[in-house]
Amino acid sequence: MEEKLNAILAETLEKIKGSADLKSLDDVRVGVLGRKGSLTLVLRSLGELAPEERGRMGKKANEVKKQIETSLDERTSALSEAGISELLKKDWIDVTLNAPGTTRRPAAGHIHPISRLQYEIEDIFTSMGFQILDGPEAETEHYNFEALNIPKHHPARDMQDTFWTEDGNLLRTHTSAIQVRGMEKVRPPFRVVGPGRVFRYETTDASHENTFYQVEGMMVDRDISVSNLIFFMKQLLREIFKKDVKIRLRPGFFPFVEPGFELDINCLICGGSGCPVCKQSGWVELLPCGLVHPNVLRSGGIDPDEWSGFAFGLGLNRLIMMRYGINDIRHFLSGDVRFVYQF
Amino acid sequence: MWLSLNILSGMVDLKGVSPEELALKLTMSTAEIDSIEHMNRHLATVISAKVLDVLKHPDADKLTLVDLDTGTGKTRVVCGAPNHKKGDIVALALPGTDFGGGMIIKKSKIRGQDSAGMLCSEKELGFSDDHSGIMVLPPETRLGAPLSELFPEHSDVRLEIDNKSITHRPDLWCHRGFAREIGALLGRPVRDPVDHNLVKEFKSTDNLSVRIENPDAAPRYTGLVMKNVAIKESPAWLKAAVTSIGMRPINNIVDVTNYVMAEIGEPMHAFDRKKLRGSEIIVRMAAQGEPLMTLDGSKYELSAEDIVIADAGGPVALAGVMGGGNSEIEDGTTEIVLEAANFNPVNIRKTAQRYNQRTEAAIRFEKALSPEVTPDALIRCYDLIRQCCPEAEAVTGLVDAYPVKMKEITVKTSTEIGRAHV
Repeated sequence: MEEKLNAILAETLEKIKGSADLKSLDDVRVGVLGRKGSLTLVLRSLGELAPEERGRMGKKANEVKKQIETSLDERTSALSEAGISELLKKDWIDVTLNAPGTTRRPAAGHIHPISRLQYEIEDIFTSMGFQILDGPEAETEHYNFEALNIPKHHPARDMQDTFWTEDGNLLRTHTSAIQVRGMEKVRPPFRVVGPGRVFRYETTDASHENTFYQVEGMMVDRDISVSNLIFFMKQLLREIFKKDVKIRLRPGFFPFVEPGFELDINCLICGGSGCPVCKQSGWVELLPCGLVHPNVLRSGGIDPDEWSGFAFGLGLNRLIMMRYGINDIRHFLSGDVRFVYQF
Repeated sequence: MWLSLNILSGMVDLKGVSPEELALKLTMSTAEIDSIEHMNRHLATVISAKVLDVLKHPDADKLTLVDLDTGTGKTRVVCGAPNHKKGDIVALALPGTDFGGGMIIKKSKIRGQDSAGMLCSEKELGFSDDHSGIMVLPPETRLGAPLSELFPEHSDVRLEIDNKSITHRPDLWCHRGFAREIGALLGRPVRDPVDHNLVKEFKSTDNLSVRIENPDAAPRYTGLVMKNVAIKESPAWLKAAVTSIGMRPINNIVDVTNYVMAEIGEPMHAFDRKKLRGSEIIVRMAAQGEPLMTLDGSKYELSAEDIVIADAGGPVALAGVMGGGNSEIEDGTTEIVLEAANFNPVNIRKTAQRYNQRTEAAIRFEKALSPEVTPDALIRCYDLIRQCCPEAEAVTGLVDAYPVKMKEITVKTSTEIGRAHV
């Protein structure tokens, strides 16, 4: 009987190995372990043996049964994995796609608050006779610094930490780079604004970003003075904030203007009585401006004895933060649509 | 940069103008003031008081009960200091005095005895590091006077200037420059702290000479030798002033040079005369790879674009940036060479960037200082060193190398030009 068991085991293991699909494997199983299977028959005949022989053979038969079952299980899972990957190859669907007829739809695009404000400002200036200019984000040292009266070793270069490219060009640090490019295109008298993205090599925090947005403005004509500058700035702020805003000018140093100013607005949060936003001063620094430095006019091929002008740089991020009470500049480029969708 | 109102008051009368008004005027007309800081603000509620009696604390061996006359009444405090005795005039911090860091004086019971304030050590007052006992004031001190009145040098107010807003104004990197602005804003006269008559006291027994090799890199170098100098701690007013301008008091000579830099705007340096090899100071470009160790212990291999101050044996200072370790003054120094020089701003800026040494000297030189102020700075240094060491004397005249005198520039303007711009 022992030989018979060994023979069944050897033959069955061979068949299991040879079965190519789950169906034939099941046939093997039935042939051995089924009601009339070869091993089942052997087990049934155990009762006919002598008692001492019965115990030994019973043990042996059970071992054989266990071995066969293990082998069957392994082969089953191997064949079903193969079956699944086969299935995946020839017959797949993307379950992440929306099924037709459901209510989920791809999100529609939404205008970013910076673009929105930029368009608004472009409209305001266009209505005042300004022309819109563009300039490259990757700039030359000439347009970003030298033509703006900031020579190579001037300490004013410390005011703007710069991303340099290996070939000595840079990512523009301010939209003022558009000034001289503009003067090369249009001849005075002119009024231009140049919106765009600018870059600083800075550590980011709630009020500092390495990438932000500005609008540069410049007006060149005969006898332009600080009074003209103040008029246009007040006009702009009235349109943006939908009310008259009190402003003040104080001296500020920017190499491309002379005289240069910081324009402060009366704090819109507290109305000027003092609060944490304005550090109790009642005033918030909003934009640098001034009369175009004669050297900058010369860089643009304009005779400073004949023409004069004003220029300003408006930080769009700061302005939106003021308008909507946003407390962290990093939201703008976070890529979080929940932020963008609020505007 | 910090502006000390005490230092400014030496040049322009600030009476009747509050620090806040002054800060606003400067912000609106000259440069942005970032903050206003009252030094040792607690002194306003610390008063002079006379010790009437010292009694043993009934329940503590090391504490005493001190009865005090505050000029307007009597009070008692518990004190743990060992040095006060009957008749002493001491500094009493009244309840409510805020020493900062959460230390606010309150009326309290100490081991069961009432205490209405605290007697202060010099350290607690912020005057010095002395914490061995409470401070005893001179016997003639008026009673009940706030220490802010008795010690105005320790009750300074300082304004923090936004450095970016004076990048284009080398004249404003000092108190004298701001005093001129304030004088104009307030319509008050400005007094120059430099007494040019002092030059008459200079002797010429030392034979120091100066040679400039490259006048483009170093337009002017002026030196002065002083002897019988004693290196010691600065007087209280000088230490307080140096602290106000944001520096750490070191010793009388270093403090005077730092003070003069803040006052006149000319960065200064002091060498030990005896450590100089020979009697000639040479201002030249460094040789490529020439070694130098600076005061802070950093070792450099210099570039040919660096300017050095050298003697017969080699470099003794990295010009416009930092002095050398080999010529540093130290406790036993008795003879010094004071340097006031003028350097090309681009060279200094490059050197400071190359070695990442943006020192107070370098940030001033890179703005293009006037070479005309070097004698002023030396005369003022001489004046102040004599105040710290009366026995010190100048043993050279102003040893001045100024090969190409800077041309005066006249700027023509008119109210018409101003009006056209505004």
